[in-house]
Amino acid sequence: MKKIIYISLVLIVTSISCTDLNEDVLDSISSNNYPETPEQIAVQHLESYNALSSLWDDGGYWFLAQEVSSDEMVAPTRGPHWFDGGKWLQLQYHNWNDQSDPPVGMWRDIFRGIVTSNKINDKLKAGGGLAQSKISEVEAIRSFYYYIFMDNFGDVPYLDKYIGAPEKPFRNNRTEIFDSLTTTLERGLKNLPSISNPAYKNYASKEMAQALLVKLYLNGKVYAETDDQIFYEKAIQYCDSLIANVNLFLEPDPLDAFKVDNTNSSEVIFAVPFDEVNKEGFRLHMRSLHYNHNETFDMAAGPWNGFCVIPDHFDTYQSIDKRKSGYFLWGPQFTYSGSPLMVDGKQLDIDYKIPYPNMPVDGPLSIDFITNCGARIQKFEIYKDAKENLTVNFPVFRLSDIYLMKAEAELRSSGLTPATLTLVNQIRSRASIAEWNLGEVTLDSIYAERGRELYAEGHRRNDMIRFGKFDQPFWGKGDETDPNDPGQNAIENIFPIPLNARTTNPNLDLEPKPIN
Amino acid sequence: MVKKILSLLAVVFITLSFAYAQSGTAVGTIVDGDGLPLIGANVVVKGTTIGTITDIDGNYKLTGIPVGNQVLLSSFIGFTNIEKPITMEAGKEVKVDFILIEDISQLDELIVIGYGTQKKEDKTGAVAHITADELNGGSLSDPLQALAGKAAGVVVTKGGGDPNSDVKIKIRGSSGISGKTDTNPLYVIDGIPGADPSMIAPEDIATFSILKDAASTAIYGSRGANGVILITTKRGSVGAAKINFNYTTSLDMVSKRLDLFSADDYRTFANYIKGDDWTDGGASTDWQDEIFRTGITQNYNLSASGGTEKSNYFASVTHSNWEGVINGSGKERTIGKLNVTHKGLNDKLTLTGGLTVAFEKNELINYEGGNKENVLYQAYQRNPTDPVLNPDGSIAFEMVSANRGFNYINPVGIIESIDKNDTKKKIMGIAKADYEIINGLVASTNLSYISKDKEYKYFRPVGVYGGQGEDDGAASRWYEVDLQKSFEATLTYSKSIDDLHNITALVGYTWQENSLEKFGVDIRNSQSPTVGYNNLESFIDVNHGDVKSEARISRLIGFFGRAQYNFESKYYASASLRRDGSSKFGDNNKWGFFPTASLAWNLHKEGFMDNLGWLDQLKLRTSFGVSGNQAFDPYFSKTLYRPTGGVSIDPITGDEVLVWVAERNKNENLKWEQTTEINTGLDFAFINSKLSGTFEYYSKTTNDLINEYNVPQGKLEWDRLWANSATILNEGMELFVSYYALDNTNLKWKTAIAVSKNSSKVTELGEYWSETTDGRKGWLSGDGMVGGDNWTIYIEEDQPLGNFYLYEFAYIQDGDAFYKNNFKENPDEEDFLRADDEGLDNLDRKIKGNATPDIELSWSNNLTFYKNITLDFSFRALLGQQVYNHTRGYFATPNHIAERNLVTEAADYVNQDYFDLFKKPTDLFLEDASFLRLDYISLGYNFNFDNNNYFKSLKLSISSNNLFVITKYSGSDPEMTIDGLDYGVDNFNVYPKTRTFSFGVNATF
Repeated sequence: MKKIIYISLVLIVTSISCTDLNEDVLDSISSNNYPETPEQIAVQHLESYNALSSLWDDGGYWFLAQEVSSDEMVAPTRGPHWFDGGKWLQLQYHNWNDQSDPPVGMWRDIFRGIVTSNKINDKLKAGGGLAQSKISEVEAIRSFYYYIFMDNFGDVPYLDKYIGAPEKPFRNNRTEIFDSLTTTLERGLKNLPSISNPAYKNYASKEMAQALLVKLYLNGKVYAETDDQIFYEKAIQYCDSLIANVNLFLEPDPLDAFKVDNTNSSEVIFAVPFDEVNKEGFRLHMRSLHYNHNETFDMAAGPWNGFCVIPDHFDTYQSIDKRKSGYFLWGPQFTYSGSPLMVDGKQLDIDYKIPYPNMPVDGPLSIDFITNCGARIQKFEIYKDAKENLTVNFPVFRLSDIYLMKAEAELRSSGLTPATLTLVNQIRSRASIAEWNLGEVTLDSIYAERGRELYAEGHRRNDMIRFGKFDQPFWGKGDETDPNDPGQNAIENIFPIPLNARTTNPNLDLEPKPIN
Repeated sequence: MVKKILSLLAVVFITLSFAYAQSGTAVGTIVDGDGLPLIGANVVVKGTTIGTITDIDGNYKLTGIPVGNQVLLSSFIGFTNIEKPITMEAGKEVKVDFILIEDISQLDELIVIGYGTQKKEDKTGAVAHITADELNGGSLSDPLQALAGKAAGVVVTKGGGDPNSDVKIKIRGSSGISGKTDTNPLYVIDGIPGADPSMIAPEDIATFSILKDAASTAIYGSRGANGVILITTKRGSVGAAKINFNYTTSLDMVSKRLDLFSADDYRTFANYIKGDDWTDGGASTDWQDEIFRTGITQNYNLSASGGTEKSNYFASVTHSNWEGVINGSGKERTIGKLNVTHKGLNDKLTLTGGLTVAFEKNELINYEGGNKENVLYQAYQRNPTDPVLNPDGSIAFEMVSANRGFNYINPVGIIESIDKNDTKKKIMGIAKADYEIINGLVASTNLSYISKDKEYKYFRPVGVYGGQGEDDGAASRWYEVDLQKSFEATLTYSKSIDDLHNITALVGYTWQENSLEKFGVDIRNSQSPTVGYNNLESFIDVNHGDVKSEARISRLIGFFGRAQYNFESKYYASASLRRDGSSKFGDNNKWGFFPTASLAWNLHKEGFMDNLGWLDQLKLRTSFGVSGNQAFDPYFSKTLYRPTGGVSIDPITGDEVLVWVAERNKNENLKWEQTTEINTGLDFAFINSKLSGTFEYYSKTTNDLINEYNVPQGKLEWDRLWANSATILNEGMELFVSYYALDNTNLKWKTAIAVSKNSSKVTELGEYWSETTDGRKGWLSGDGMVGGDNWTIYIEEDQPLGNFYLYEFAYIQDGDAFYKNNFKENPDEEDFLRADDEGLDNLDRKIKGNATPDIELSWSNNLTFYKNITLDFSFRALLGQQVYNHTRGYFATPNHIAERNLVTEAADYVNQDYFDLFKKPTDLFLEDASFLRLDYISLGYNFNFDNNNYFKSLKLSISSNNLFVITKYSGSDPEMTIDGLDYGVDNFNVYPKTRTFSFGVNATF
């Protein structure tokens, strides 16, 4: 009997000493312990790229928002399909609001990329001088995030540190952010690695920073709201550095930069990596191709029959343009083995002339037409056995863009030089269309060529704003022939800051503050 | 010491009285109200220790009764005591018979409370006590189903009739706003907190004790806020072994189908609307016939129990097999249970052991929203002209036409080809020792262990999707081990001073550790239609991330104490305090305090009530308590780095590396949700306790509600943070009345009514609540309905949870639905707008209803005719809630006839015009879902075997669950599982409710 009392007492006493409530982390690394090893330290800065991967699909929405709000791609409502609460039509008709999925997703994911970059930068800075090239690399990728952030939202909070960052930051003026970005990038150029190691094409390299500087300066008149000639001089300067770069030259075929393993493409300056397994997030082919197009490519996944090229854009290609047949699928369709692609007992025949973005089932269009119309996008290689996610890295910056931007900068400043015309003509002749003479090249023709060459590369919205076209009517927006256009399209060139961000941080509603 | 002296005095006194007096004898029988003998009933001479018990025929003989005027007192457990005066003469024998009446008030009944028991008469908190014979029977896959409608304020719901879906209980409204914190009560089975009630066979349950107010639950500290349900299983009693066998077989039928077009009607309708712009599949199929069936359920329970004064045992085996009414769904379960108790060391030591093992094999089917494999969605949408099979007899997987719906997959193909099942092994054990150190002081310790293993297997061969999406076959195989270990120790001291001051004090310590480990693979590209998950080498694609494992662990530690005092069972005061800590809380908030206090007053014991002869009990009580909820996953307070960045190339070395990504913002202040509750109750019993009941009023405020709130980015990486912010107020009233309406030999009728009303209000959402990201719930699914504004439920301040915010449907014109433009940004806007029009936005939505019932009402009845015929039935009603019938809205749009089959209601709209109804969530599809259901009705016959050597008793019964439901709701069934925040949306995710007819045999040997 006494034994039992003793045992009970011992149990009680030992258990009372058991007041340990430390939380044991088993399947992850607690932030207090990360990084654990020299190997983790060596690559911890790669976390700053993580936010990029969601921006191409319907998480972060950046790519889809750039394309569907522009005059080159439509996400039509096909009868019962693709209405999705109206979010695609909102992008098309420019009648989005501060609760629409695309601005909400863009704001959240781009902002995370910025804060993650700041966090890593603070860590790297605390680690001593050895990390200088990584600090510049992280600053360059943060600058890319800021470029798309301010490009889409105008005045945004500019933060360059994590420790001591304000809980509820104010906005800063876009002009000042523009200045800070160019300063940061130019300061970092000497430290950044070069794409002479092609692995750096997926990261922030010196060349990526140069291309980003070209983008920023060329859009200087939009961001700084002043058409300063120095911007064009700077843009030309960085274009020249890239054009002179021995690692960069045009591929022989306009589609070469969009194939699997395009990391090694000589035309690509910076590409975001995607992989059907390890880095999912690029599904344009699924969104675009017809339900039965898996037979055309012998894909492992049946696509979703949605997005297509806007017919007005389609019509800007001459029929001999290699890019037209390379980028698009229309007309009678065939299987992988070359026999007619039969759908409902007849060969699938795609009429590229989609009439308007919103095609309700009870309208005048037949259900077959609604399902099948609109030329589909195959610019990014759809290889045999392709799955829902493509293993094609997405070229954010590539040499054709640099050539065309140089021509544009010259046209906006001192005038097009014959040397630059030669570069532009390389792009045209590669596409099997006639070269231009010096006299016939105008800003408008460069704008049109940019549209053709850089189709579906995420630049169109940015170009349209710079060329003053984005707030004008075009196919699918303010189009008088569209019976379903709701009218009252947004006149803003930027997206609204999402309501949820403003309710949790009311400072975003206040006037921007100067960067201190 | 006082006691010892008292007993010594008693012994001396008794000895003296023997020495002095001459004595006589009393004989007689003791029978119950029906004249049946009571075996083992007590007879004592009042004020002495002279007493005896009755024999097998109810006879007694009591000798040694002192001469003179005496009082004989007869008593028996469950019966009211009877006293009879006698005048004893020396050496004489008198005959005194007793008829004992069943004590229906059961005020002396012991009820289980947290870490103790209490006489029903002495309770100070809101505790509902339900015994096995009051529960619903029939075909139940979960013992909790038996509780439906049995206690006021305890809402038991189960949406649909899937044998594999859970029953959910909400006590006094729901207080949770994340949908990720569990708002179900804490289940304590035979003293094991956190136990799983689905491990217990309904037949093995002795009592449920439901702790409702915070004063009762706070002894469980940070786990008490959602109420506590204490389940006690059966134990053996003194006597010869009793063998009981129970067998039930049932037929389960789909109680209501969706009213879809037949193939012929479909053709007529499609031709009328589309002309020839649609494709006829050439067959005539009723897809609901193809997936539904009549299920057969078998349930066997065999138990043996018995015991001596020193030890007792209860052992049972239960085997059940349910066939779901959807082909391919089913459940098979075997439960073994053993309870043993042994007393030793002069009865000072009591050892108790309990062991439960449960094995399940479950056939699963998918019916989630717009999921590709949702068998219901596929059967409802599938064109009735499409064939089930190809001419060669194989399943027709391919789409007949490209213009059929998106994700349009043959449901028969899903059922026949996809193999999806899980097996579970669950073990629960407890070992307990109670030792009475000195009189009234008991030390208890127990160790308990729950292990739940689950293996999940899934295989989908190539081609089931008919080429839609990735269709090269896939398999999953997951193993999960869920462990709980706990240790508890308590010291209880009870003392009664002069029968005036009654004190019970308790101190205790509890330690619990929960861990979960998972390991599994999700693998693709199958190379065999048959091998599947049995040989994962039959798949080609195995990539980084396809082989996964997870592990997590959490610990909970609590110290608690309670003091209960009463004066003459008239005035009561009780207080408790618990200090609780959890590893899940943030570093700055590891420990919390949970205090309670309660008072009660038995008015009927006051002198001024003495002349009210009809009054048996009138008790007023009030309580205050603070309890918590910490039912969220571990690590919510921490930033964890996980390799979710995938495989990248380190540009410097060229090596493949994993990118570690910070998974969430950290919050070192994260803590429990806190519920503060005031409860006032009235217990009453009138007319010899024939009419008795309880009324409760409560007001509970839950603050620091846990949610992954929207936060500003800048200082924080992610825009979400697990934090404590919002506050919800639940107020309500409960009334439970039971009435022995008839108590004749040939007709007995006991009836009980439970009514409860709860109203909830979100009083505060806090700084970091975003109406757009946190407030929108109840998302609809379906083709063309991804994201956007396809939400129906909205959470905002000063409103209850579960409000439906919908566009107001106005009229149809030129083929379009028009909605009210309630909010105009400029006065020129039209009053009514189409779905696509500029100006119609979320601000135009209005509150059109609520998903939570206002009132629960239930009525239970037990009737006995001519002693042997029993009729039990119970009705239950949930009133005042709405359901958004998206299943109807999605299938009522005439212009979608080419893509999907429609409900016949669509024909009505053609008479008006064709239109696209589903583009906006509209009040047109919000329906009143109030219902009255006959949950259970059973007719039984007891055979009497007075002198049978084999049977002690035999009962045959026929019963039905859900014989009918009365509702205005047009969908499959109005009852939704009330859990989380998204209930109230019928999103093709309602497994049909079943109507069940059962035949049962219960025999005792």
